Amino acid sequence: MTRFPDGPPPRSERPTSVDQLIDSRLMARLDHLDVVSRKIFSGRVQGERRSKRRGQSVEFADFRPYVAGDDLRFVDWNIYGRLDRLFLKIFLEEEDLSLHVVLDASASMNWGDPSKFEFARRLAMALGYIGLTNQNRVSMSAFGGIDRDGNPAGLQRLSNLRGRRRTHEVGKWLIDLEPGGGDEFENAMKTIALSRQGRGVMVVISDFLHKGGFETGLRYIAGRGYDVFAMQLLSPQEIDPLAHGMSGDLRLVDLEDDDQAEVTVNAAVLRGYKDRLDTWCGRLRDFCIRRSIMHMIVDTGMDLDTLMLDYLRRRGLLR
Amino acid sequence: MSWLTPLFGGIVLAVVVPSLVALYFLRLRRTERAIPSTMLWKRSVEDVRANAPFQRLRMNLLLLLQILLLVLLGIALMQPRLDSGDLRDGRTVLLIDRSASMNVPDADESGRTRLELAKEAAIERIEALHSGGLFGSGAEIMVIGFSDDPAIRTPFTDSQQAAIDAVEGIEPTDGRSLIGPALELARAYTTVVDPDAQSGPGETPAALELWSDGRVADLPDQVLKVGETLEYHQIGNPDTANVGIASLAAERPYDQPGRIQVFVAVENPDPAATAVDLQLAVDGVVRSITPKPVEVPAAREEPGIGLIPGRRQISFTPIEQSSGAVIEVSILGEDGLASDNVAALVVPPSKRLRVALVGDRRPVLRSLLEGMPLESLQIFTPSMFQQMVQDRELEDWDVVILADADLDVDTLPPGRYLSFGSAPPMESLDPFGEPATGVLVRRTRDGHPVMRMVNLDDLYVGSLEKLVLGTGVSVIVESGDGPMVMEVDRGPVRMIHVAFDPLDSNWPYLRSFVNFTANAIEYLGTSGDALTMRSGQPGGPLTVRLPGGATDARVTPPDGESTPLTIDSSGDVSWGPARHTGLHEFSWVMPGDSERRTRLIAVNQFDRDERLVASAESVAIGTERLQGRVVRASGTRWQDLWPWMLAAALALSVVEWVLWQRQVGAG
Repeated sequence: MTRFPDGPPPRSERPTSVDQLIDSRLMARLDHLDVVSRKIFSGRVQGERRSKRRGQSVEFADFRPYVAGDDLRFVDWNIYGRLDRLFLKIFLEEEDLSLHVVLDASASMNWGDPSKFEFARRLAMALGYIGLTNQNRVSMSAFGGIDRDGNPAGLQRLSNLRGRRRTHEVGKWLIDLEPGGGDEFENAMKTIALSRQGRGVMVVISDFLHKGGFETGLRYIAGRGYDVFAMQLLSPQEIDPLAHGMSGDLRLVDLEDDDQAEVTVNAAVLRGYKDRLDTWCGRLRDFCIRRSIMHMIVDTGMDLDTLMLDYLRRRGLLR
Repeated sequence: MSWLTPLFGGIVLAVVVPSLVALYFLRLRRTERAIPSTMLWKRSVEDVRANAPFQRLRMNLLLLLQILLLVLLGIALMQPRLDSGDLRDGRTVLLIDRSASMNVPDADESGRTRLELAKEAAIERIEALHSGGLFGSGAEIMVIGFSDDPAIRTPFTDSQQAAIDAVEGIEPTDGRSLIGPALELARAYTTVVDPDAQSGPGETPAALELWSDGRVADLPDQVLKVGETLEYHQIGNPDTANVGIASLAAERPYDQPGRIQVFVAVENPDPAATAVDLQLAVDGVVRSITPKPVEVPAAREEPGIGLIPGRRQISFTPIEQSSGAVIEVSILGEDGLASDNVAALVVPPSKRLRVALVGDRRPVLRSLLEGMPLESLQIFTPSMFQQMVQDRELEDWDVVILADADLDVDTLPPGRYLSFGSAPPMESLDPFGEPATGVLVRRTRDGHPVMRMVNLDDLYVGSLEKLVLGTGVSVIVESGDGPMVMEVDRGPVRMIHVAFDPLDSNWPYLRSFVNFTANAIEYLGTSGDALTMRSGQPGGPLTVRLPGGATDARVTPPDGESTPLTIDSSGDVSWGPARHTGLHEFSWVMPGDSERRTRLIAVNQFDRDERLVASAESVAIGTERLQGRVVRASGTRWQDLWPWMLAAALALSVVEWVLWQRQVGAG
């Protein structure tokens, strides 16, 4: 007897190559985009973007009075000649950007039509491609996945890639991810926060339907130097269950913990569900605003091109 | 609408419906769906449950259909029936009128009689009263059919079929409607005799239900006992009109014994005058029809008296008929009741009598007899009469007149006697004391045939023999000092005895003496079968005196079903009560005869109460007046609704199955 007599949960076909993750046409259009941070960070090497860290770049930022110990090479002697006082010239230092994409690979993401995880995988690929193309340090993490034996894979990481030539490596890593594990959001965020290297942009792609709550996990990564973007993926089936055939007497089975809920879906229950979903999303949004996290709800029914070229640009993640 | 077993169905519903709801919650077949997280759904369901505990019940069509199906089945178990009245526990007596007026065919448009409708309605009533459907125990019902006399069709029974069979077995009669004996009979069955009870017999009054047209002669004389109730179910049309023959008589004129004069009276109990044609038939051959319709006046109400029907008396032109004949008078045309539109009379053949007068010292009596049209008259002395007794030669005389004869015999031989003066030697006539003097008549039986045209108001008797009367003696004329004229019926001896010598009174100077003597000779000479005595009434017995030696007596009533009769020691045969009007034929066999001898007796319906056939809308019993519940010819009996409920439940189950299939398919 099959577990689900009415067929398996809706999901998309798993890609087998990078081209299936992101096609060349989209790649060409993404070439013009870059990841934008609302903050200016210092990197390990001099990069292509400004940092708030004043340094040795050519772009003048400010003056400050000389104090003992300052590098005499940055003293503005012209001012000393005019004012007879020592001032140091302060320049904006150009640094590379660290882009960290955190991907939720738990079982709850492996649902929807198209599958939320496949959508997230393609989204991560596109973001990673943009980062690599713009010489940013691209790192990726995935939590909640499973290995080939079906066991929890723990936090899977791909660190510090740079340059377009690493695109295939990113794609391969993404393709190898296998969704289907439990909810490890909190532990994963804690691990990522503790092992933080440098500053940069962190994009967390998840549905944030964590029974333990999202607050603790997000709290780990908020305020630690990352410009965090929380991208909440919701499938069309989750946004409007009735329009997608969710009705009648149902026994709902949780993909992550096999928890069951017997529901007779009617207008009142649907109304309650939508209210709860709105409340949940509103709670996430409020939490993010208070911690300077950019929260975005992404309908996985949306076209990826539109998302990348329009939606994310308007929300300030890309330019 | 009523319910046979509401408690049973209610209990089943009370158990099954909550069980279904519980099972629905516990064992609802749900489609399994995988979702990312049950978190939001659980919370939303909890919200809904908090707001409306039965939210999902409200919108679940399948469950509603199933509950409806169960409710239908529960209702079916309650055995609903289409309306007709109230169920009643306890005892019920159905009194069904089967008198003549219940034969009026105005129950409905199809021409059914009132009795047929009453029986059908009573059966419906039994089905209504009886809760003995599938589960009930049933009320106790007694069925009594009544006309002149009541007949318990079934004593109290809780069997519905027994009660129905009893009603169906009630046959129509042409009798009168008397409910008193029926009530006494019913009360006898409601009385519980407990030998241990100190307070005597106890009664459990029953509910009485009367199915009648309300024309019950003695109903106003009845009184309901404490606890008794009477419900009147009115049968028939209150506007039905009727005209009937109230009496029929025939006689042969004194001077023309070969002719028959027929008299008939017609009565109209309705408030509108009417006109009828009358037909006279003799032995089935029409001999006369009234030349123009006979106007019969309307009935009228007289204060303190009541309804006095309009009456019209007609005499037909005398017809030549020396031999015996059956005279039949009919009202031509149709009206409410048919049985009173025909009356018959059996007239014996013209006969001259042979009379013997014993005692030659009575010139007045002798001259009177000589003036009568007799076959023969012979005068004997007492000694000659004694010799004739010894020689058994009395068979030659139709009537022997004993005129104060002092007979030296132990007892009178068989024969018919008219006796004056001292009582002849008979066990039933025992003289005592001194004769009474100066005696006047106190009371007379005017209805007796010998008293026709006899008025004794002026009779004065100087000396009256006092008698102690034995069995077989009935008084015809009575004085303050004892019986004056009596009839003795001692089997083979039949006698009219006058307890005084006419010469000791002023009677020979009165016209009544002549009439009395002629009547008595005619009465005795025709074996008591005077012309007007040859008919009976429905409900009464019919008695015929057969000749000595007669055997194998039988009676054949109008329905043609012959019944053997037993001849008693006096030579009489009796049968009855007569149920229908018409000619009843008595027959017997005489020794040596090859053919049966016959005698006809006509039974006629002359009852005034039965003639009024307009159905009464209310009846009076004692001081109460009961409004009738009109029984209509619905043509339908109790309609059980549970099969329809069952069918609806089955149809509903099909709908429910289809819906379930669609939901499963869609899920």
